[in-house]
Formats: sequence, C-alpha cells, structure tokens
Amino acid sequence: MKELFSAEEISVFYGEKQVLNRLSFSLSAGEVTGLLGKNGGGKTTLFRSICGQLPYEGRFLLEGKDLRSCSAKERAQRISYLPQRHGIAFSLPVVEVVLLGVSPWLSLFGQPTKAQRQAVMEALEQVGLAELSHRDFLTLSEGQKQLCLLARTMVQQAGFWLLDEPDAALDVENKQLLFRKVRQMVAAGQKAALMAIHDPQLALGCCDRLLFLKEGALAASIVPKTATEAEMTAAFRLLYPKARPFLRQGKWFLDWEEEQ
Amino acid sequence: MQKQFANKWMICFGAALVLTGAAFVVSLCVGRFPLSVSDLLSGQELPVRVFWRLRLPRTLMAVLAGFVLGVAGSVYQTVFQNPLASPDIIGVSSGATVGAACAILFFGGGLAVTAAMAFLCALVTVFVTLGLSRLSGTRRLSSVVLSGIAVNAFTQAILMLLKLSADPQKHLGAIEYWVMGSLSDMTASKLPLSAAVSLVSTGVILLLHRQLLLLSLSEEEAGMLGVSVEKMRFLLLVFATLAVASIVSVTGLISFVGLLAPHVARLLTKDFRLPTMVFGGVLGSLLLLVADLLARSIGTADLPLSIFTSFLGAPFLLFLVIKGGKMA
Repeated sequence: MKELFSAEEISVFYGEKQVLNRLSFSLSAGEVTGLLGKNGGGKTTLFRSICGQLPYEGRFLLEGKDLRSCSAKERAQRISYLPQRHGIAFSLPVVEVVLLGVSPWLSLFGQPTKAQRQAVMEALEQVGLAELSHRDFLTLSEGQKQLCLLARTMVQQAGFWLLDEPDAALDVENKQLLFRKVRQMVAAGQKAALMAIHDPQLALGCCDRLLFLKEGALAASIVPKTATEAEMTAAFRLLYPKARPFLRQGKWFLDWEEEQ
Repeated sequence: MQKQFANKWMICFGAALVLTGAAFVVSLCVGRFPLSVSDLLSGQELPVRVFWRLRLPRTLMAVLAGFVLGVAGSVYQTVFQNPLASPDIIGVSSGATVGAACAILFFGGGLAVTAAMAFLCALVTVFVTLGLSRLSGTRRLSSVVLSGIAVNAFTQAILMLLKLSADPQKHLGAIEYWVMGSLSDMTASKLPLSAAVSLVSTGVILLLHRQLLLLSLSEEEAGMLGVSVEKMRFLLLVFATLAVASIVSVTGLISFVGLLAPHVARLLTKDFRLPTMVFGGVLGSLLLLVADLLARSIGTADLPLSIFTSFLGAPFLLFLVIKGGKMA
C-alpha cells in the first residue's frame, strides 16, 4: 500500500525531560492506525507536534513533504484534526460549525461557495445531524457535538486524519457510528488516519494497525489481521500486563487475567 | 422553529434600525439650541450653522462611535473568548486616555498629536496585557482578563499622577473631559480624521469576520483549520485598537458600550457571525445616541456620556456575573 505519512526519529523535550524518544513509524493510505498508550505516554505530545504546536527534532513527511515547510493553511489542507473536545466558546448554528471545515480552502476574505455549503449538508446527513443543522451547537449533547466535529473533519477534505480520542464523550451507539464513518471515509478516500484511543478492545475492532507508545517510545507496531496470538499478547502486555488477546471467528478480542 | 427564530431576529434588527433612525432625528433637533425642519428651511444663518457645524457632526459621531465600539467589542470578546472582555476592561480605552492626557500635558493637545498618542498608548496597553498574560505560561484566557485588570489599574494610576501634576486652570479640565467622555465639543472639523480611521479599521474587521470566527475556537483547533493564530490575533487586535483609539481620541473614555452592545446582539441572535457583529454595532449606535440625548437634556449643562452608558451597562454586567459569566 502507498505510504502516506511518516514520522522519522521524532524527539520532543519539555525542558530537560524527553517526552518523545526517537519515534519512527509510517502510515499507509486507506488504513486506520490506532495509537495506544497510557496517560502521559506521549500521545498528545505526538499529536501536538504533528499539528506544529510543539518544537520537535526529526521530521514528519506527508506525501513526501516535510511538515515544517508547510504554512498553517497548507497543513490544514493536508491534515484534518478531530479534537477530544470542542473548543467552541460562543453560540453558533451546527451548520456553521461544520462550514468552518472549508476554511483552509478559502482566501483571507473568502466566503464558502454553494458547492461547499452543499458538501456541508451532505456531511451532516452522513452523521445523522441534518435535522439539527440550525440548532445552536452548544445546546447539542456531547455525542452530537463530536459527530458535528466529525462532519467538519469530513468537509475539510484532507488526506490525513488525526483523531485525538474522538470517542471520549460518546455512548456505545455513537462510538460505533463514528468509527464506522471514519473507516468508510478513510477507505473510500484513500486517506490515512492516526487515532489516539484509550480502549484497547475498541482499537482492535476498528483499526488496521496498532502502535503501542510507552514512555515516549514506540514499543510495538502490529497489524492484527496478520499477527499471531503470541505477537499480539507480547505487544499488548507491554502496556497492559494482564491483557490476553484471543482470536474468535476471525476477530480479535481482549480478555483480562484475574487478580490472584 | 428555525424560521420563527429568523423572523424574531429580523424583527429585532429592524426595530434596532428604526429606533436608531428615530434617535438620530431626535438628536438632530434636541439641544441647547432646539432645531426644527422649518428653522433650517427658513434660511436663517444661525440654525443652519448650528446644524452643519455642531449638531450633525455630533449626531454622526454618536452613531459612528457606538457602531465602532460595538464591533470592536465583539472582536475583543471573541479573541479573548470571554464575554467580559471589552475595550475598557482590558485597558485599551484607559491606555488611550493616558496617551491623550500626555498629549494634552506635554504636546499642546492638538487633534493629530492627541489621536496619535491615544492610539499608541492603546496599542502598547493591549500588548502589555497580552505579554503579561503569557508570562503565566498557562495561556488561560482568565489570565488575560486578570492581566487586563492589572494593566488597567496601572494606567489609571498613571492617569491620576498626570492629573495631580496638571495645571488646574489649563489642563485638568481637558483631562477630565477625556476620562468621562463627551460629545459636547464635537465639531465638523474633528469628524473626518476620526471617521476615516475608524471606518477603515472597522471595515477591515468586518471583512475578516470569518477569521474572527475561527479565533473563537481553541488555539489548537483554529491552527488546524488553517489560521495563523498569533498573526491573525495580532492583526485583529491592531485594527480593533486602532478603531477604538480613533474614537476615544475625539470623544474621551466611553464605558460599557463595547461590552454591552455585542453581548445583547449575541443574546438575541444566538450567533456571532457577521450579521450579529453589525447588529451589535447598530445597538452600540442606539445606546450612544440615547446616552448623548440624555447627557444634553438632563441638567443645564452637558453631562458626561459615561454616566449614562455606565448606568445602562453596570446592571447588565451584574446580570452576567450572577449568571456565572456564561457565554452568550
């Protein structure tokens, strides 16, 4: 598969403390990659570095281009970012929140076109929020807000999706909807997605590949579809010592050893 | 439901325009020298001179100042993501007043030098506020407001010192004029420069309304939607400060308009895009026209504007505090 994004020898320091330690990996088009790690393991730091909000050593290449040489606008045309929680402080209709997704494609004084507005309505229909398009975003439930931000990510039309624990505020049904949409969009658009995720069982169900981040270093990288049970167990136990992955009817599940 | 809401907001906007128009007409007629259409048509020199040289510039300035302060207020509130941020609360207006006081005391108090000093000091105040808030390292917006309060207190202290050292006969009255704001000395000659600078600045702000919308998001989100956050924040604050400074350089400090007008607009529209910004500007014009009418109608002499804008604004601020500072 075509390589779309790569991190090469990424190190990040907070003062004296090294938070990311020579991290290297690559992501392929059409794949959803899950990033697993405990709190403080470096997931957010990695995301912030890719977003250009933290200084780092090494380089990120997106379709062969070093992200350091990209302007904020060019970066936004190439990377869609779905945050854990929205940062919208004032009342705004849902449709306008989604419309913000086309901003990287507008000039400084530009206005969205009819086609872009149409794309926004289609994205809202896809996430099931079309009927709420004129509602105040702040009055939506947390789950609906996250789906609204997913619609914004969709209209941004970037080749690389960065999703920072997007399921944090969602109920089971909306989690399934969100992950299904992400998978569909990534596969259909030959995009690559890197998704920080807390729940390892969920990661097994929706990711083509898993990266295990431990103390700022890449501890393991695994493709569940082709991995053996021994490989999966070894990888998971790096982060979760009591985890016991097992395969049933072609799908991976996670069991936990009981306390002695 | 949506249609009902749109209709309600159109009615509010229409009502604000009609009331502003009515206040504009009343403002042209009311004053120490009452004017009527028949006076103007009679061909008498005095009414015509009063109208063109005093009454019309004063009324136009009230409309302009209210609109500009209303629009600039929405810039400060959006950029700082805080409904309590306003040109006065983060120290822009008081910074400009210090500049104006310095111009009066040390440079003769001419219109150009006063406007330039007011602008420069307002700009310095904004960036000192921003710089101090960044020193905390948290980038929390509450730290910006706290820094603004500290800087505001500091500029007020400077102003007190300047007033103490001012000649009571020569300068003190002029400085007091600045501190309390008034349109009583407004003449036709003072309008063009202030109007040109404030209208261009406000025009740029309105053209950049989508960038302002993006700045209302978290810094991370705005950056990932293609905004150069620091640069755009700087640009919008410069234009908002330029607009406010160009107004207060002529009118003196006017309290609460920049806080109140955009807030009421947002509360009514549940939105803060371009139409709401314009609506906030219109409400600002209405508030200032009414305040100026009261200022020249109550009592024998003109009273300062800020008395009336504050009487209307302070209860609203209390209302916000009681509501827990929730965003509109």
